[in-house]
Amino acid sequence: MSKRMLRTMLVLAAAFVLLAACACYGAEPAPRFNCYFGNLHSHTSYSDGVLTPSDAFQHARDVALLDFLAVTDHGYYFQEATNLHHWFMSLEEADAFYEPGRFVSMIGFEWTFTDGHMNGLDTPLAASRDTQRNVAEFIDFLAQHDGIGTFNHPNYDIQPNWNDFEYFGGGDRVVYLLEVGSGPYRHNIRNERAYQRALDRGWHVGAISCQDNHSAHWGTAAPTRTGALARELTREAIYESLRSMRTYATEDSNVRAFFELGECQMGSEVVISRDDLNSGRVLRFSIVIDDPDESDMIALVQVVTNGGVVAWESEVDGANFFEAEVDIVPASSYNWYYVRAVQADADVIVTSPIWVSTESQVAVCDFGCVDLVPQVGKAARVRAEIVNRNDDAIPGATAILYEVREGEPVRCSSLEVDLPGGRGTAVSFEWTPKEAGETSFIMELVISGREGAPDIYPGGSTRVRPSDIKNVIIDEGHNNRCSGYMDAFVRLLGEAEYNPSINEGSIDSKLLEDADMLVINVPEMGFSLTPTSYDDNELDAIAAFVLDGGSLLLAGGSDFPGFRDCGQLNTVLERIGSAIRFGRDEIRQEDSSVVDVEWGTARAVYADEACSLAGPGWSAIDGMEEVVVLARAMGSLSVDVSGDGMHFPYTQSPVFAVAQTIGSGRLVCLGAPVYSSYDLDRERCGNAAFTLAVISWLAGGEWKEQ
Amino acid sequence: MKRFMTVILMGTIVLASLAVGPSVAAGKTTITFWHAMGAQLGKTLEALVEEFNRQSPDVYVKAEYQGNYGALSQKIVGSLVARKPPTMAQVYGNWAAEYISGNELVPIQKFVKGPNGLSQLEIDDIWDGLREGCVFDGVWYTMPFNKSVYVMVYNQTALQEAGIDGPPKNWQELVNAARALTVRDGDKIVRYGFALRPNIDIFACFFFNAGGVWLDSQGKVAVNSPAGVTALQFMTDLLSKYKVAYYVPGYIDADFGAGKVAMYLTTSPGLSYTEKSVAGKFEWSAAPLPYMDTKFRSTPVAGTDLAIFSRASAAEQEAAWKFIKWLVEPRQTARWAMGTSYIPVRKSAMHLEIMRKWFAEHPRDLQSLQQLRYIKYDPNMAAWNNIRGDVSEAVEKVFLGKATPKEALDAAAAKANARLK
Repeated sequence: MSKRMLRTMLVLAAAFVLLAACACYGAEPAPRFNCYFGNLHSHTSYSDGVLTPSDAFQHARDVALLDFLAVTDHGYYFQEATNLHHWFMSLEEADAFYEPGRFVSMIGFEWTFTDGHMNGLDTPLAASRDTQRNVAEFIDFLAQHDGIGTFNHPNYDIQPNWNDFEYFGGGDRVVYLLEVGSGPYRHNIRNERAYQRALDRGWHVGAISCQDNHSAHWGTAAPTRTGALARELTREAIYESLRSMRTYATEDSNVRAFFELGECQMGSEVVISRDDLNSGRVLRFSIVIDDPDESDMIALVQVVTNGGVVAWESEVDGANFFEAEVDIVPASSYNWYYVRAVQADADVIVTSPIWVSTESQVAVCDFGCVDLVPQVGKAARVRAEIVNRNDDAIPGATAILYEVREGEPVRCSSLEVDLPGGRGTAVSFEWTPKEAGETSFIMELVISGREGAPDIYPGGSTRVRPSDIKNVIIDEGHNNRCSGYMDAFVRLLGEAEYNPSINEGSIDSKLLEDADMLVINVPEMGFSLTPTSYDDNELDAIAAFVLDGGSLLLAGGSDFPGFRDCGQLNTVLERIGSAIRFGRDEIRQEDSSVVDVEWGTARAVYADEACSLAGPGWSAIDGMEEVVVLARAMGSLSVDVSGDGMHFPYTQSPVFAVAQTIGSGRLVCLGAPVYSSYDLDRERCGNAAFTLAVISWLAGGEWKEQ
Repeated sequence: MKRFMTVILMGTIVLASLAVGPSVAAGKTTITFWHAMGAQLGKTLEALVEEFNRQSPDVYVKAEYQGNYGALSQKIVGSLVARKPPTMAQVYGNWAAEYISGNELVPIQKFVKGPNGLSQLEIDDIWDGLREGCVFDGVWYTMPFNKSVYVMVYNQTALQEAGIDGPPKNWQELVNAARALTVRDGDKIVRYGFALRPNIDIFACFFFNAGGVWLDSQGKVAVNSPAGVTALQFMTDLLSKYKVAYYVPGYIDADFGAGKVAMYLTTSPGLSYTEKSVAGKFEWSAAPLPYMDTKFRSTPVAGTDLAIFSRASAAEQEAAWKFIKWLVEPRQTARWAMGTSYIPVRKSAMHLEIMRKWFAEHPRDLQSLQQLRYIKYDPNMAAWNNIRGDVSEAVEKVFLGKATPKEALDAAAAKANARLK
């Protein structure tokens, strides 16, 4: 039965559920299914694993005590003439081990592809990357054979995850399951983030946990299991359970999990009327988590919904059995809910979702303001992806944007959009915030020809800043050091009430017109798509900006002949009349270019390949008028890398950061840009605090000695 | 349906094995040859083996496909433990180093210098870089066989549309071309100029071309040398700074064929996959790897060599040598190259009429050969297999933004050098 047929049936069933809710919801949750435990992803020497499917089945049945195992060798191995018989041998070996009521043996295959690996189950043949050469062809293959597709190890660190789970209806019809847990092959990983992403983007997929065995430990590599709710232990019943997505991913080998909405089990899609949704209809879910091991205590049970938000949770104290009825009011025309349970030993159990959506079958995701720093009175961009999960197009829908401040929705703008069937459509709203503060969004979707209430979709929230916050321009237009690695700095500034932007072009007075602060990291030579130095006009514009009251942050770097020197920064300093000079040296600590920069008693700043700062003629900076030393590289030395004699007379603790007031402008010089994404992501270092302290002083604040 | 097909197929296998049986001529020395050549590669190899068996009066080669390289390695190790190795097999240099340390291989040198050996002219006819890669502690142990080099594949149609004369030769041209070939639609990039894979092989394509060498003069892994840091920095800059590339762990040919990327690096046999993926949708070609500086121009060489196991009897070893010698004769190595896009291991093969004709029809394959003078190979040491993993991990970490190139390569070098102790 295809997923689409299943959903149609559930629409009818759901009508009953909602009408007869009282009778149904009040009932004691009585499990009508048995829980079976198995593994749906494993390999043998028929591809790149070891031994044979027979060995795998025997081990899984007799040692791991699994109820079911699918051997899923790589499809491309079977495509080779010399190996084709392995596929048929696999099927025969599985048949030999199949024992209804005791053990279910299955054969599938893994289709490996750049976008992400996928398994196919219950097909008479195996697909291969050599014959099915893209996702569409693989999906066609599964559809042709009515197979069961799974998203394998959807970890963002190892594969692009099918263009980040971009929805397409053809795929949604045949992909039933997603490995919320995967490994231990290469990575023993939890993929809950990917699971939530797939659900947010409209996919109907259930949760499984697979081992991807490549050694002789089928089922014993870890206690992780896929739990399947089925009426009996037969192939037909297990396949039916997978197709119905009555599954859960568990890191405990035998915990039983049930999640129901009335008569509907996990994996079901329940239809709610738009009127019920708009009137705040309460849905009562029931949850049972039951571990047969008395010592396996349950610690926390949650219901997780759209965007990974925890809709409900309960801490559990000292019990291996948990039962609850949970009332939830759906917030959107497209909702998914799954149960996440955590045991005292940190094992996590994640169920398949129950979807609650209107008959429109439209999901909305990535809905919110895309500008990092929306400001009052300035046009901002609000975007959303509207996913039409129907086969048929929805022409001429109207999407209406509301901003919500202090609970009050106010209509902002609307647009007309055609929604092609089985895919997502990106929309962009015009939005100019009128007031500062927390703002969230709601989208109403009106489908022409349909009576009654519109579909509603809540979006993300953003903080609108006042119009007069400081504008910070970060130059990346001159092959500046750390260009392309300033994302974390931009985020840091945005969160701290500044308005950062990256400049990729030249610098002139027009660019600096509305700027309050300019950040220049030393330009580097080498491979570049931009100029590697500032021309005279640019230097003049920078000097005029500072003398006119602008703030300037200059960050240098160690001397690297032919690649980097701070001569250009010194030219800038000359133009603005500062006597501070960047050195042609490298600060080193015990022969390492990584040094600890200290600024009072706060956590030290991590700096790599830094130069020191001094006064004119390589003189010591201490005592220079109107210059304040902010930080030093304690216990380090200034080393003359190139041997040109141009380094500083410090025997210890070179100056790393200085500040100077120049007219009404402010200047800070640093020996290195200690705010690159690498630097700010380093835990236990004071780079973020130091950077914010520097920026705050440049913005007119007091320097706070830490 | 499932059961019906099973029955038919099993029947075919029985017939096939019956067909093989009678061709083992009585009186011939039978040798086993374990290989990992599947699909088209396997077919070409089988054809050569068949021809050898037909014309050889005294040797019969039983070529046995063992699955991919991982499976082949596992099976060889298993067979050595069981003391029943094949007569000969395809082996990587670092596998060979391990087998040699256990006295499991016979040096090919023994036969090269023997009565049925090779003349100095014939020895010199094998590409120097390939032969040097088969020497362990001064002893010539294995014979280069299925060797490939890396090339840069590019979408010629896209280059022409962007007004670029030819494929980029150096890194600056690569950045410029990749930027020109990167196409944006609003905030989305619909075609990238370049694509990378987070592994040591692609890293080596940049590392060597920045002047890097795997081992320093003291024999220590020098992956964190300035050349290493420069190479990895350049690679990650293509992703983050210039924003002209993306990376995927898997193969890139499908994305290239779908027009999602305009240039990428692959091995010479990978070109057949490129051809399939492009399927005539646009013009494409291959070029030597871009270099940081002309003086560093180089390409990593990949692929395996042929080894003879010492447990085989003297007669079997001699028979294996006869087969190996025949297999790398110019005519055979040419046929091998034409059927697989591996490089012919003999210089003279390039001058055979069939090869000239082949290159005229397949100019892309010629690009690989232009680089044969610049090949660099992995150190022949048993620990190298694990070290490969250390370096790949470093590349992956940097691409994920979890470490700077220097941090990641320092960590990889420390790990690698600990393995050498």
